[in-house]
Amino acid sequence: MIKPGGVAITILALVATLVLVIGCGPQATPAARAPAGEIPIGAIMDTTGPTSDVGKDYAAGIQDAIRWINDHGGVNGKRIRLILNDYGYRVPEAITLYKRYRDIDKVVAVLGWGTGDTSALAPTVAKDQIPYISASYSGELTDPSKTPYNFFAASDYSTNARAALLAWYEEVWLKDERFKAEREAGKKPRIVMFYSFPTPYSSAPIKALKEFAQMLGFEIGPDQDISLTALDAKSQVLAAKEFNPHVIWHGNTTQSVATAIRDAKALGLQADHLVNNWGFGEELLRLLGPQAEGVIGIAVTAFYGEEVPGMDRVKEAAQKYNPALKERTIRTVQAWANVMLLYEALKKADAAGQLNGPGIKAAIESFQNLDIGLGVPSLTYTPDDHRPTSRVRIYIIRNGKFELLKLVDLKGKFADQWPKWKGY
Amino acid sequence: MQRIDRWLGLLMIAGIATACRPVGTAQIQDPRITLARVEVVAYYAWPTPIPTPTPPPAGTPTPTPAPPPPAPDLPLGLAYIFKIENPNDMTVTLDQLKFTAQLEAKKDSQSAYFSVHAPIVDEDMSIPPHTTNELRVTFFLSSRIVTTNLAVTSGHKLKEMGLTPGAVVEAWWKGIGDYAFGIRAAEGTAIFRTPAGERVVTFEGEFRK
Repeated sequence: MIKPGGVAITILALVATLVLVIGCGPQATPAARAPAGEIPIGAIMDTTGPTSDVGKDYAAGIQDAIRWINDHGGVNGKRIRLILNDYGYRVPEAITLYKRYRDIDKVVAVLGWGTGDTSALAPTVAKDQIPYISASYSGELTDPSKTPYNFFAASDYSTNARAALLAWYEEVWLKDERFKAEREAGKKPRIVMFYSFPTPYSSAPIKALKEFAQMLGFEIGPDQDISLTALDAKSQVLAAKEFNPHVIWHGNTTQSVATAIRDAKALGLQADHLVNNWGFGEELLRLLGPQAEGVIGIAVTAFYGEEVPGMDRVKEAAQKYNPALKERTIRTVQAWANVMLLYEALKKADAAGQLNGPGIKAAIESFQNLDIGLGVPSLTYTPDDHRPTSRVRIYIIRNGKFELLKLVDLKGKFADQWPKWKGY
Repeated sequence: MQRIDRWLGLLMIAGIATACRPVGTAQIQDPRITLARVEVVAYYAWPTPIPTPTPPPAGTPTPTPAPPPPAPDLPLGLAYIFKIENPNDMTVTLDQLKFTAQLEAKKDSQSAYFSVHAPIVDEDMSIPPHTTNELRVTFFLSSRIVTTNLAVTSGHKLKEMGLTPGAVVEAWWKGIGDYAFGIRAAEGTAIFRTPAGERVVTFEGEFRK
């Protein structure tokens, strides 16, 4: 016998079951992320051009860092939408990409790459009020009266070059037994500079370096033009040999620097080697092997995998988001440094309700001794000076490893000169 | 009827338990990515060498010879077509796909692959359950940029093989129509959004005629 209401209960139970089964079943994947609440950031990278020997790993670091931020709450809950493209180190292509980012993607900031394109775009980004955080650390980008929207999270090229020369002068020339006789005879140290004349990155610190070398009492030999793509630098090495330098400045990227050092050793050029930061790193060790012994260079962040605060997330992100890329280097860490600077600025600008170019600029210019970890010295920016730090770590390669040679604080040592060195 | 009600109640509980259990990552299988083929989508022929003019008779005044033309800068459009198979009972969404495009260089019995581009696809693409989608990744190479790229990333390796970047690029531009060398997708990584969270899948593939 069926009780009154039994049918209703049965139907209700069936409907409830169906509703729950349908409602709680496998979820459809969310559609494309809603643009509301997203922060569009453009990136102009060199993964195929003449600086791709270091640019590819840097671009991977940018992607890792942005994805890591998004997976850890974003910018106060807002996701960053990264639009990253390769420009092959061609300035016209960088300008075209920038216009697209500005006009179509409506980015609030750009992560840029080379000195040539960053300098070419500097007046435009200033007019457009779009912060441009570059992998170019050119000194000419540090004077806000000329380039108010340019930033980076590293010591600038000119500061680096002066610091490297000072470290060599104080730790090698003044102390090393090899030079004792010449020192006692009152001889001056001699330097020659190897770099690509037409490449803005390579030539950026040369004026500052020569001026500083003269200040320290160096004799400066004839500059040698070596292209970024050089596979042979014998003629330049032979020309430098006539001057008999004690030390050579290498201003190019790793492949070209490796070529020059190899040829210098092969042709018996007895000189020490000082290398700018984009030529010094794990890639140089791989290319030179034992010939890298004694090479001195600049590192603006910790090397990949070094035990410093923040490195865990760099490694975790690399393994999680880019597992197919096996050989990561300091370039990944440098990319993270710039992204962390932007991240801190985005958070601050957003909290102030000013998530726009001027707001981000104001946030960066308010940072005093900002600690982003990753082996980067604390960073300070002001509306009058965009040189983030005067502290530079100089390393020497010993037994196939990077060993700290000296931590130089140029502002501390040359307080009277430091203000004059801004902007070149 | 009470018995039927009881059964329905049990059915309901079972339904809830089945439907509402969290979708664990163990339930999701990685989508599979394979390189189906590579197409040439734009081709500009490598220029024919200009014949050396016959020297004028002795004693004839000659103008200053023109400088040699610079190395050509020719585009080459390639498309990699990938098959992306979703073996799951639920839709997954491709969030990002990237890889390194590599071409094979040969000299005598030696052969090696060299990276020429690192394309990234950021557009979302949903893949329904048990479906294979196709994704076309089109990009352009510049002969001049590829030459410099080879020099800075692989110059010493090429030198050891007895090759120069310029000669390798010329062989690629001239031989691509016949697929005279291997073409690879290396260091491939794809990120999918799934109901069980993000999945990162690595892949590689080779295409030969």
